[in-house]
Amino acid sequence: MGRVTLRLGGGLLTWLIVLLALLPVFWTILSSFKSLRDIVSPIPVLVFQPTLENYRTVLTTPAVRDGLVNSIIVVGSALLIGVVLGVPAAYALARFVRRLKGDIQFFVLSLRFMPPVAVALPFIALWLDLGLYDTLIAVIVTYCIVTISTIIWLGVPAFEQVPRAIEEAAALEGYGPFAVFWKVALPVAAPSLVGAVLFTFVITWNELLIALALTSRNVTLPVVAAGFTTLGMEVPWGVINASSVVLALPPLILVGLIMRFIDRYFSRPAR
Amino acid sequence: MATIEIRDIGKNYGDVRVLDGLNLDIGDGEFIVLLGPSGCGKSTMLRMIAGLEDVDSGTIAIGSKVVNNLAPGDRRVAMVFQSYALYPHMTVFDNIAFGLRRLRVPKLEITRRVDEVAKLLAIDGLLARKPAQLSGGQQQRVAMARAMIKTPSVFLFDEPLSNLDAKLRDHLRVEIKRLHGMLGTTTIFVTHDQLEAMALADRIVVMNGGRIEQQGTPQEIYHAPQTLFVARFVGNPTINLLDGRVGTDGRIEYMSGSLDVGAARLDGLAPGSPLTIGIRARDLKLPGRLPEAAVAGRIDAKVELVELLGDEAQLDLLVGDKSLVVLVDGRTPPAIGSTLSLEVDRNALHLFDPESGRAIHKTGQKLHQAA
Repeated sequence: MGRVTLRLGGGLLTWLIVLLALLPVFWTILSSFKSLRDIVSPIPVLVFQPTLENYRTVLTTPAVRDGLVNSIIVVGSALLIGVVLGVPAAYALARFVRRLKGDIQFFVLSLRFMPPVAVALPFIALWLDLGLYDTLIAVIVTYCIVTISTIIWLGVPAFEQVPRAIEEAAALEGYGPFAVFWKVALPVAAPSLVGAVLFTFVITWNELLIALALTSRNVTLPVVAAGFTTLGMEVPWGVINASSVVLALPPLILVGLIMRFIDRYFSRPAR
Repeated sequence: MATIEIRDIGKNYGDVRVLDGLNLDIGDGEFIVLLGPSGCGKSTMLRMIAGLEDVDSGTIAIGSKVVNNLAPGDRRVAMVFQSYALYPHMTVFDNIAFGLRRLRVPKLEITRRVDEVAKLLAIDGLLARKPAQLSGGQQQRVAMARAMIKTPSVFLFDEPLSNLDAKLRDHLRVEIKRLHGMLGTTTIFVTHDQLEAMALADRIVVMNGGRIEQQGTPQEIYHAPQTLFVARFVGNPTINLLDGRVGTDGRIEYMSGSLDVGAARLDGLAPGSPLTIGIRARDLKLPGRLPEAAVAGRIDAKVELVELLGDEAQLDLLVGDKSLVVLVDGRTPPAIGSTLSLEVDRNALHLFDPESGRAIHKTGQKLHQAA
């Protein structure tokens, strides 16, 4: 009897937390289809005449298209560099570095402790001096600190999970260290590494502060979305909501696609 | 095919000396088992031969060529791991073919050779599967196929059967023996299981604390242990050990009685010097089972416990405060609480110096008598 109550209570609590987490998301999506009058009404309106006006405003604003292109270039490049440099570094740390491993890992992690402002301010000065302020290159290089360090940090445990014996088996078959990494360790660690890369993508895609500090015209999508708050005389709630939805869609779609790929690639048929 | 010569090899992990100047010669086609408790250095030695561990001192030669500085892949050795170590992202076929692909063997040739070893190991129906879809026994067969396909000069087995259940273990043990008979490849097999060692080995090398305790045929190891450690480690149930002293007229005194082992066995030992007497559970007989001439003496003991094992029954006995284990015919075991006068087989007595742990006997003579 007590156990049933407990399970029921646990289930209820779970749903309550899910509801609390999803309610703002739901409200944002709902409001993105509302006219401003329905949004600002003191009594929440649930039944309303849906409108696509907000989305039209967002998508016809040239800044949004430019911001999307910039975001894809910046995040894509930083992520690519992060993978190319971070994954082998993580493997080397997991397998070959013994003495300084803890220190190196802590240093990498400590890059993520710093408040973003502390990173942004010196970089403004740096890029101004180099004449690269407000260029995509500046944002890409700065983002690489985030992508490389995050991928190393999450990649080390991914490679540590790969059994040493299978790498030794490959070495006994005559494969050198690079081939062992490429043909054995990397494919075996791949599912965990994909997770690491996705996580890194999400944090850079959503990054606002550094992008805001380092650019004025060549801005990324989060900066554009943030800019809507100061559009015109009144706060355009509908447009803000619509731009939030537009901003959130690419990571969602990407995660969905990759999860499906992982499921198919690594699924085990029943024994 | 190859011989292996190991000269004075040593290995340290930090301050711990795991191998301490070992010497071992292995003949072409020989099946050697490295036997010992965990931490005795047997796996380390195997991994050094494979090239997976650096050699700190000494040399290892395979086919009379020193391989200390050769990469694992250049030593013409193949290894089967305890954990199977199959590549989880590849099919069984690709697992077996992986080594050949590096050698740029033509595709058709690879297919032919994989099919051949797969048939030999009865895994030809599993080639399209991934390792996760196989049972433990099947995985270990794939690992063996992968080791065999490159026709290496030396097979190395690192406790390959430890992760399998008892029935499968017996089955694969026979298989390994059969394959060795067929291929005749020099083999080094590491295990802590003395039964496995006895069943497989041409020669057993018993290791303890980074040193070789004794090497010899399974018969020599079992019937003529040269140290107390070997006597205790090999044999199930564990050998019975009693404290005794050298008496007079070729007799040994122990607790309440004495055993007549013959003056020749005690030649050169001062009366009164301490001894450890070792008697295997099968060498203590119920009254009347031994010819009178072979009886070294009788030990009176009380039956504490009877365990039926099928053909045999294991008796736990008490002699004073000392317990003995005896195996007798399982059909008519003595009753619990009864007192037995057990006969000690003179030819199956093992004597050790309790201080050095070394055996006191004329090995050749004793073996001859046992055979």
